[in-house]
Amino acid sequence: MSDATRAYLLRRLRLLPLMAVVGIGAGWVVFALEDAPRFLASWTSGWGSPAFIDLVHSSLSGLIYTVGMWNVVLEAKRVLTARWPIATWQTAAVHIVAIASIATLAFVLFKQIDPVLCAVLGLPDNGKEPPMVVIMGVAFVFTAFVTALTYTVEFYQRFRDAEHARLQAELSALRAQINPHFLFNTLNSIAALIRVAPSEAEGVTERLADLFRYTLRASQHPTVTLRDELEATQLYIDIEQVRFQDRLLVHVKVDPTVARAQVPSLLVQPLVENAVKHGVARTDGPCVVRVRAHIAEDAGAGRTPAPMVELQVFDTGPGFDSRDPDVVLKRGSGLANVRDRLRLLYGKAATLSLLADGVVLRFPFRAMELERTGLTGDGLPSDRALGDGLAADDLPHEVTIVSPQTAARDKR
Amino acid sequence: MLRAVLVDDEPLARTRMRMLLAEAEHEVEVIGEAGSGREAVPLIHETKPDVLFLDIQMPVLDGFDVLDLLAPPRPHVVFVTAYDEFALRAFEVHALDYLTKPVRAERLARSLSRVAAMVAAGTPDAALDGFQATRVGAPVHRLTLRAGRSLRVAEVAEVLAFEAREKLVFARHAGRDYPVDFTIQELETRLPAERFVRVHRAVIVNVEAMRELLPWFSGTYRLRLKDGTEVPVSRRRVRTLKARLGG
Repeated sequence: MSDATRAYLLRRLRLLPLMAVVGIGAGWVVFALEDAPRFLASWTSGWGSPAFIDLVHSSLSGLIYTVGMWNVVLEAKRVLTARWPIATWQTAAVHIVAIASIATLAFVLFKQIDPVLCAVLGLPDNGKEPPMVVIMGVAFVFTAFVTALTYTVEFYQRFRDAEHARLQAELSALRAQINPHFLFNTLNSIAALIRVAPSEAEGVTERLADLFRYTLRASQHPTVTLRDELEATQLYIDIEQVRFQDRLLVHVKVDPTVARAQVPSLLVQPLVENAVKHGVARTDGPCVVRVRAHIAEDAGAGRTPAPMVELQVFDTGPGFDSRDPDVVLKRGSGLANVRDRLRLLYGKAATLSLLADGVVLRFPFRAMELERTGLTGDGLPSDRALGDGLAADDLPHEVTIVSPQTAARDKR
Repeated sequence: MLRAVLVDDEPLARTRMRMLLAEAEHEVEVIGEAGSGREAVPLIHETKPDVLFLDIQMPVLDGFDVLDLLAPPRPHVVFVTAYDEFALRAFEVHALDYLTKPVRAERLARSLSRVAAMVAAGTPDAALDGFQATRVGAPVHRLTLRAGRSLRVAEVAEVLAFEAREKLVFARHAGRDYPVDFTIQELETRLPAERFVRVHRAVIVNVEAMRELLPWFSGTYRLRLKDGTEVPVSRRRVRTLKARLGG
């Protein structure tokens, strides 16, 4: 048995006493609603009296129904969430209908225990029950209501957590952007370029301004398109390339189909910055940073019908000190923040894996209107061309951005 | 005329410094440039400049590491940094001369007059000496190896063994023995303990380089290293060595 399974079973076991108490309580409530005087009498008429036997009966059926149904619903919810993660209100609705249907069927099955219970307690079989259709209807509506309530509460909690993480990300992104080391070194480069290559100095200044503007604006959007992120990343890469020249080679390869993918804002640039920092800053020689984005081919071996986006950021630096995600991610790093925000948007369907030479993100492909954001543009409604990296709507089949200095070297 | 060496891993930063020095009132000749700490150490050794403009944040060997590896006579040093809280604090505490990027011409002129005055009077840089003294005793991770007039920087992990012979300590590195400026006692305390073990009064070996323990006379042993050479092992250190080999 795996640790995860054991922990899961243990959690469920701990829930059993609560289930039992709620079940017996529910049995009493039903009894009291049916026949209040008899319910009161059952407490005073002594052991073995017919009223007392009725109390035992209602307690036991309440216990059996509640524990049984509760577990069926939890199990159904677990299996559904694992196979078809909740992404939209529609999937949530499908979940609720499915769970309520399963629970209703289970209810009908549990009802078959009632005659057995009556026989054991020596009670006559209850003949004056409402018709089966009504019972099933009530069971369906009840479970659907409870499930919907649970989902709403979960959604609200997730929303609040997401909001919190977003604010954190906004803060840390701003802090990282206004990374003084990056800023002052870039200003120093500009100061040098003003005399030796004025047009290049102009270019760096513009890119630095665009990058800061993007960061400020994107931090107010919870999600943006992957293309917005890649464009901002390209601004960053262009600046770093001026600083490091031959020591930094960057290859960006993006499958245009994933350009519309919805991602948390300020996701990609921190990953690339991380790669540049660890790659370039820890080796004397040239460092190659590769950024790839495409649809993952083996999307969960047919289990998940939805296509997955795979984003890879690799560098030829010394690699992580450890491949254990807990060790690398625990340091409150930018990487941990990236993983958390991806999780908040896509739940467990999103993964971040550490390889020896980089990071791979996988998350469900959810297309987003390219028009909605376009944060790297200058805001003119008629001008939808967003920067030089990728053109707005007529994306070529495959986009390869190789920075000018690297183009010659890449031919080997 | 001041003779200067520039050390910065960003080419444009060196370009700017060169331009500023060319325009400075003091006459400064840039006699060498290095794009990494590793290149800087031999360059400084060869050119013996009066003043060093040393960037702090560099890959592998940073500015402080370079300073540690400089054997006397070392040049006057003007540190250059974009922004590094640790470095700025060290500069303030030790009253070291430093420039922040982007470097300003007026500020550079002040550093140059200060250095020029010290060079002319032949006074040593007391602040820098004091700072360097605080770094002595820190773990040694790299060494400068000297062969004739040339000099190179090596990771201590690449050294197979240190052996004292005739009042000198030699590092065995890539098939050659290089004299180093440490005593065996100093090395024993300052080398990474998980990597090096003392096996004899005069010998420290790299754990990774040990190959075979050969019995010798009267309870002593010889230790064969991975390059085929052997070093002596004293009787009382055999047990700890066996424990290291066994573990």
